[in-house]
Amino acid sequence: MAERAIDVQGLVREYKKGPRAVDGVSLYVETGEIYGFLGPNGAGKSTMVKMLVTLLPPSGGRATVGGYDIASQGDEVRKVIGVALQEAALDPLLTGREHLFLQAGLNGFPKKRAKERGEELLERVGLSGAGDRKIGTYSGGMRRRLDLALALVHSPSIIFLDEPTTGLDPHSRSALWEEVRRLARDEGVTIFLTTQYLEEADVLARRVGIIDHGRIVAEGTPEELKAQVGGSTLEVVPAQESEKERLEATLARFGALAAGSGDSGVAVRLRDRGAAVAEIIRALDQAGVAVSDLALHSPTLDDVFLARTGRPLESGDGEPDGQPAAEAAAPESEPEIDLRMAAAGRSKIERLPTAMLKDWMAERHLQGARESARQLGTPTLTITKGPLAGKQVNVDGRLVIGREGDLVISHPEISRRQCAILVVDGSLVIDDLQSLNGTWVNGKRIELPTLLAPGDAMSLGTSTIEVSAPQPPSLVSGPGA
Amino acid sequence: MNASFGTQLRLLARRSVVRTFRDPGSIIPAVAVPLILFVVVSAGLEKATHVKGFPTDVIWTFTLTIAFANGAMVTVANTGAAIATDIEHGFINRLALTPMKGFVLVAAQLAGALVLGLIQAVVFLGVGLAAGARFEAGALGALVLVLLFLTSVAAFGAFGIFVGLRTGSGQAVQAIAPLMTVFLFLSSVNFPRNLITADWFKWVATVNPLSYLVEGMRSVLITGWDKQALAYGFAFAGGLLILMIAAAAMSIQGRLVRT
Amino acid sequence: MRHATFWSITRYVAWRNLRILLRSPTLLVPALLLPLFFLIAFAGALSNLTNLPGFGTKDYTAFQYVFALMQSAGFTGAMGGFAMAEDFESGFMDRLMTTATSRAAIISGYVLAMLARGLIAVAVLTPIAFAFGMRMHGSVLEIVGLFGLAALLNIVATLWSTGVAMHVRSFAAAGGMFLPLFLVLFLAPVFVPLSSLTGWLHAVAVVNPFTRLLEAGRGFITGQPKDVLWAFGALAAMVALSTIWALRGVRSAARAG
Repeated sequence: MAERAIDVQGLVREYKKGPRAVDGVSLYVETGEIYGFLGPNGAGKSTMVKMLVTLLPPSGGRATVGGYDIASQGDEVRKVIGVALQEAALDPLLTGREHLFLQAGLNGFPKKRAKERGEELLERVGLSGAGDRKIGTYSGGMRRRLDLALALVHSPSIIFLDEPTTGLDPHSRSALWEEVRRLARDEGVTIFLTTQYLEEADVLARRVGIIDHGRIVAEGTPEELKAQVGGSTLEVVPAQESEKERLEATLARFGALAAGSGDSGVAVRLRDRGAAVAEIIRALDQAGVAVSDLALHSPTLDDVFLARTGRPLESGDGEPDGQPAAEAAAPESEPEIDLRMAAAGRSKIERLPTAMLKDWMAERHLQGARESARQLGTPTLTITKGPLAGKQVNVDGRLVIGREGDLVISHPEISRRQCAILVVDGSLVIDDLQSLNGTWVNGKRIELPTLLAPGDAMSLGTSTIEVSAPQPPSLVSGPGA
Repeated sequence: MNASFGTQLRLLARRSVVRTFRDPGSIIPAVAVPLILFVVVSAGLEKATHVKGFPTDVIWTFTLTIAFANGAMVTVANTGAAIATDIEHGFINRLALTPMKGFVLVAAQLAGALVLGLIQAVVFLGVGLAAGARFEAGALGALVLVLLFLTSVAAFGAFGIFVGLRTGSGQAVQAIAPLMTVFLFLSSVNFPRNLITADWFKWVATVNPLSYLVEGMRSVLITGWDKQALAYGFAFAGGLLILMIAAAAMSIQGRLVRT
Repeated sequence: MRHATFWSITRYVAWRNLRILLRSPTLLVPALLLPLFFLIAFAGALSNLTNLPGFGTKDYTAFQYVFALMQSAGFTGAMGGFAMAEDFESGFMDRLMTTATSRAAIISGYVLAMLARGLIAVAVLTPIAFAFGMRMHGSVLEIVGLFGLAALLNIVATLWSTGVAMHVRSFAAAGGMFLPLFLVLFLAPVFVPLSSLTGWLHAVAVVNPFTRLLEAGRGFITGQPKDVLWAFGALAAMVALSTIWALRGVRSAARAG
């Protein structure tokens, strides 16, 4: 076996329209190594994997897997690799055992041996009890486990795992991590793992490659990468908000200031890993600034990504290969939803540029509403205070673009489920008022009254919105008025 | 290690049969719908036997073909849906990663349809005979009918696989089924071709290849041994079978994307 | 909100529905295609049946046209329920229910809209039937009677399906609307007149009110009216029953809020 289990040189994948999904990626993975391939959604991870496992021909560049060329020696490549893709590739009407038996048989195992191998693997992934149930009855975690078992049937020396723990509960996740570690450690299997969870890459991988928009933006061991970013960040929250400026002045002596995670916190980038903390506390004491909270954050791979691309890793971004973005929550933080659009009960996370608003409103969800608004009167919503004061809004699509977090419009007359239109970051979100209420958007919590009637005023942040009575056209005056 | 063609075929055929019988959604329409059509049309057309020149005086003998013809067509939806499911769930990728050959998968998918076809044939024969249908060609004739029926099941099954592979969508396959029924009704399935008085329809039925399949099936019931009718029937079913298997085998390469 | 009269609400709902149809005319396709298909397939294949004793006419296309006409009228009426279910899903119905002073007017709006749809469907169906050899042998009054039957059937179908939609208020009922309609349509003298049916089918067809419609309609088109009172009587009863059903649906929907 070659020293490099996977060797990729300038691999490219183009689509007919739009940017390249994979734009000249070069990397290598040594035999027996666990390599973590990390990147936000739409970065090109899955496309890379599909090419390396011969399910997608590359548009350019070269790569060898197990010493075989992926473009010309596909059959040989497939013999030495095991694959578990993002979507567990299973047949809902077959049982677990039947899947394994079929897989083993197709790979050339004689009947008896195939059965034995199947049992072995079921045992290994902890599905022996559920082996005779149809896949349709399996939970998501069970399906992933079976998928892994199927990938292992012919004892491959290289395994590709595409986002193996997305959507799994913590218990299943650790079990899978343990199995991956065991495979690499005890059996010398090379593992190419793609993930959007930096924790996963951090914990499992010996080396990590970070991809964004089809290009590698950073590669190395996690320690190397984090060291490149610099030191830790210290975040301090003053006991009294009025002290904030003095706090900033004090901290500025120790490093560059950065935005705190709340309204009143201040963060400072330290040059090293935290030796200065003691000094800082003394300085704050001397300055007489009372502190209510103090936290030291070591750089994470997220910071690495941020440093290289100017964006945080775990916020989820555009989707060039058309894959739906998963919910970007790190399990411990508040349910942070960037944008949410509910159409007839289905939720999707998407950014909506203003230009798309009209298209979106053409969707059924609002069509009746918009029509009735037109037929039966459009109330005028006037913003009376704040940065957008004086602007008027109606629901016909001519909306005002505000700054981040500003402005919520609710049209109580549209439908039973009051519709809210929120402007965030130059984009528009349209959703149920009820669903937006109490959620966080870009760091701000939304509290909305549940019903607005003509004459009501509502404030959000620094803006105030007043709802005036609709001007009803008369039904009698005829249709299409 | 590579499994031989025979082993691949055996394994995948077994899967196809097992799946067919685990999905009541494919069994019930295959048996119930043709029977319902058979019963309703027969009841409505009972007096047709009084028309001058009608080839039989028991309507059930004439209309039993409807069950068999329609029963064969239902296969399209079944095999199409099965392969579309494999595509939609990504199982086709898993198969692509094994040494399995594409055309073996196509042939194997027909196994389920054929086994179901046997059951359909038994049920239709049973109900038909109970209703009073008679075979002029006797028991051997019934066997020939079943053979012709199974050939057309395979042919339509291959067509369904072709559609499923091209569209990759279960919904598209479902949309084809009513279209096939339209085709069937624009043939001589409901009335003897030589007795049709509307000239334009007679022309439609004459150019519709399904008429020949239907007449081939019907001949063993109402005529006895009509070599020409049987020849036409088998020619249609056999020809369609070969054509569709070739088409499906070519299409599968597009789905088993692998370098 | 100014008070709108019963008629203005009716007009508004009907007009809106018509605009929806004009925007996507393919909505009419299923209600048109099936009757058309049957007309062509049966009129073509089975025309020899007119030679049976006691058939009553030589024009099999006209015979089948009546069946297709009634199917078409019935299906377009049943689409009222679909349209209403969509309006429930999109939230438009909520708006309408809260502002309309007469909710029964909403129903009548749908009735009007479906009559219009039925009219369009028939306008497409009829020339095609003529092209396939149908002739209308009845007098003007009799032809009016024929279309009158169809119109009443259409109204019954609309009232019934919108009643279902009002009770269920979602798409779930959609399939359920068509199935009973299908059964009623086919357990009737489809290929031959009632007198030529035998056995269990005859027994079922005799009690099926749709049979009277078919027989009366066929009587009108061939100029030999029969069962006229039966047919109109049955229809009148069905109109009354379905109106009650629809109004109860309105009350149920209003109660649910």
